[in-house]
Formats: sequence, C-alpha cells, structure tokens
Amino acid sequence: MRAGSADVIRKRLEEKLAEYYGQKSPPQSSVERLVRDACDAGATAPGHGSPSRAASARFGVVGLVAAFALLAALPAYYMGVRAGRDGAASASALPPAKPATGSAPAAPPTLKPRLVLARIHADWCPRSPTIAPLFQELLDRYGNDAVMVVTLDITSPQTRRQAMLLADSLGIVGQIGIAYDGDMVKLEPGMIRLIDRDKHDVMATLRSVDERPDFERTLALALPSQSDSDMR
Amino acid sequence: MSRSREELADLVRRGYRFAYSLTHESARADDLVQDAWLAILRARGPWTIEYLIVAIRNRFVDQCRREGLVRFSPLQSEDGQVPDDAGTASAMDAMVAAEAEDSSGSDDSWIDVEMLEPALATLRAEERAVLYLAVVEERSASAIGELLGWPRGTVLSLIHRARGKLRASLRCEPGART
Repeated sequence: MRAGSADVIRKRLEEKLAEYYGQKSPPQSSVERLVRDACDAGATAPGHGSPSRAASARFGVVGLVAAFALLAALPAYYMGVRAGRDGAASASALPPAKPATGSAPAAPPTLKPRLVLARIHADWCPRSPTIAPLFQELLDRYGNDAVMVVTLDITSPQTRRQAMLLADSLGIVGQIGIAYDGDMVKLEPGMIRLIDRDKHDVMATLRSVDERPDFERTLALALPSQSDSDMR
Repeated sequence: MSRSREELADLVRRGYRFAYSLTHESARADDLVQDAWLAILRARGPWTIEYLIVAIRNRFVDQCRREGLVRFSPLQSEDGQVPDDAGTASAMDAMVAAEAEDSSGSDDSWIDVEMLEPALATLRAEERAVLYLAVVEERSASAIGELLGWPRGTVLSLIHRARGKLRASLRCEPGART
C-alpha cells in the first residue's frame, strides 16, 4: 500500500519534472543560428536529410571504394588478422567523458582543413544579398574536405558575438576584420574571404561578381597544396 | 532538407535542456550549448544527442575547473560508501522501501511546476543531470552511466538522493503542506 503511494508520488514528480524541463527552451534565434551553422558545415549531408546531387555522387564513389576495400579485407579477417580493429570500433562511438576530478582537460580536436571560406553577412547590409548566391555556388563547388565554409552573421550584437566565438574557435579572428580598434575587430559585411589558417593569411577577398574570376583562380591554386599536405 | 533542419533544432533544444539541468541558469546553459555545438562543428562529429550531451558535460566540467568551483564532489554516498554494481538490486529495494516509508500518509497535491525551480536549485549539478536524463530523456541507469562515465550503482544512488532532496525541499515550501 505504502509502496503504491510512493510510486504514485514518484510518477507525479517525474511528470512535473518533464513538464518543467519541457518549458525550458533556448532563444529561437540561437536555435536558428546553430542549425544554420550545422547546415553550412554539412550536417545535412548523408544521414541527416536529403544530400545534394554532388554529395550523393561523392558518397557513391566513396561507397564503391569502401565496398572494394571490404571485399579485399574479408580474407584477412577470416584468417584472424584483426589487429587494431577492436580499438577503432570502440573509439568511434562517443567522446570519452571527462572525469570530474583529476588532470587538466585534454586539448580539443583540431580542424583538418587549412583553407577557410568565410562569408561576413548582415541582414542590414545591401551588399550581402548579392554575395549570397556567389557564396552558395562556392559552397556547392568547393565545400569538401579540403575547404571549410562558414558564415559569420554580424546582423546584431548577439549574432556578432557568436560569429566571433566561431571565428576564434577556427583561429581566423585576425583574418576576418578589415581594421582593428583596440580590442575591437571591425568587420565589413557583404564579403567572402579565403583564409589560410596555418599561415594566418588572407589569400583573397570577394566583394562583387567582378572579383570572382581572380578569387576562384586563387582558390584553385591553393587547393592542390592543401590536398598534398593532407596526404602527408 | 526541412526535416533535417527540424531534427537539428530538436537536438539543440534537447542539448539546452540538459545544459540547463547542469547549470540551472539559462544564460550559462545557452553558452554551454553554443560551445559544445562548435566543438561538434570542428570535430565534424556525429549529430547525435549522446555526443552533444557528453560534449556539454565535458565543457561544464572545464568551466567548473576554470572557475575553481568544485561542483563534482567525489562519487560516494553520504555514509562514505562508493556504490557499485554489486548489491544494486538490494540497494534499490531499500530505496523503494525508504521512499514508501517517507511518503506514508502524504498526498501529491504539494507538487507544482513553479515550486520545482527553487527545489531543483538545492540539488547538486550531477544530481540534476542524472535526474534529467533518467526522467525526461528516459534513459536507464546503465545508459546514463555509460554516457557520463560513472558506474551504474553511482547513477542509481544519485537519482535516489536527488529524488529524496527534491521531496524534502518541496515539503518545506511555505504553504505546501495543506
């Protein structure tokens, strides 16, 4: 009888807790911005929705190669050559949870691509809408593993803060601004920059359609060296 | 495409709720989710709730260390015993019996959503987090333990303690006893 009463109270408490946390929600603007960043970074690619045609083709090729690799590996597998396989499988599931006490946190994972295509965007900027289709084309054409494509939205102080956090995490704060005023980075919306993260260098800036040929030429020249360094 | 965006938005909201359960502050929870989201962006990690939860929790631990706060105390129960998997069943029986004893003669009219805010503030961060994962995300103690890197017995102990504290806090609310 008592146990039944405890169950009722526990259940009611859990219902109220679920209701309480259900009421908690982040600002809609934050949700939209994070979703947009994730989409820009390719989170909507395979497994997360409808991939683009180019992405489908790319993953089709990768799948074919993977199938051949699997077929080649099968005999070795059955002969008992399984070195390193178990470790790789367990490492792919989740990042290790940090102990609550003990040593300092491990260094965060580093981003592989050296090249970053960064678009500075603001809703109030008249040039931003003209840059948007150019950026989309660059994203479709070059948004692969060799180039990271990001949008830095500086429409409002809040989005600007998040944009600076993103730029800081990528190590490109010094390359996205047009001038510095003390600690403040002056940003100019309506432009796309090609940045070499390793050299902390702005390789090219695109502000209009006229500048596109030069910009793409620079990008095309930068790409082979990028892939070479990845292979090394 | 739109379905995928909805899934991502849902992921952000669930991550935020978990972050809120840790921090109990909306601004800090928002910051934690942003940081964890960026970490997944950089790692190109899987866009799953499990990965996001671990990333948020790791960042929260980092924050506590930076601020010099000891939010995560050693994982042991009040009597000094570290719970483990052995004897979990008997421990659970004892917990249920204790809860039944505590709640004898009481009704559930004192539970109100508004009263949960201050009551939850009396809990430690890890107690709120495991309670959230168990009750709202409906995860088993084993799953929570695997996620946070704790033994199952520790998780059960934390949930039990959190429930007990919550009940005690709610009963102490002025006007709650009718």
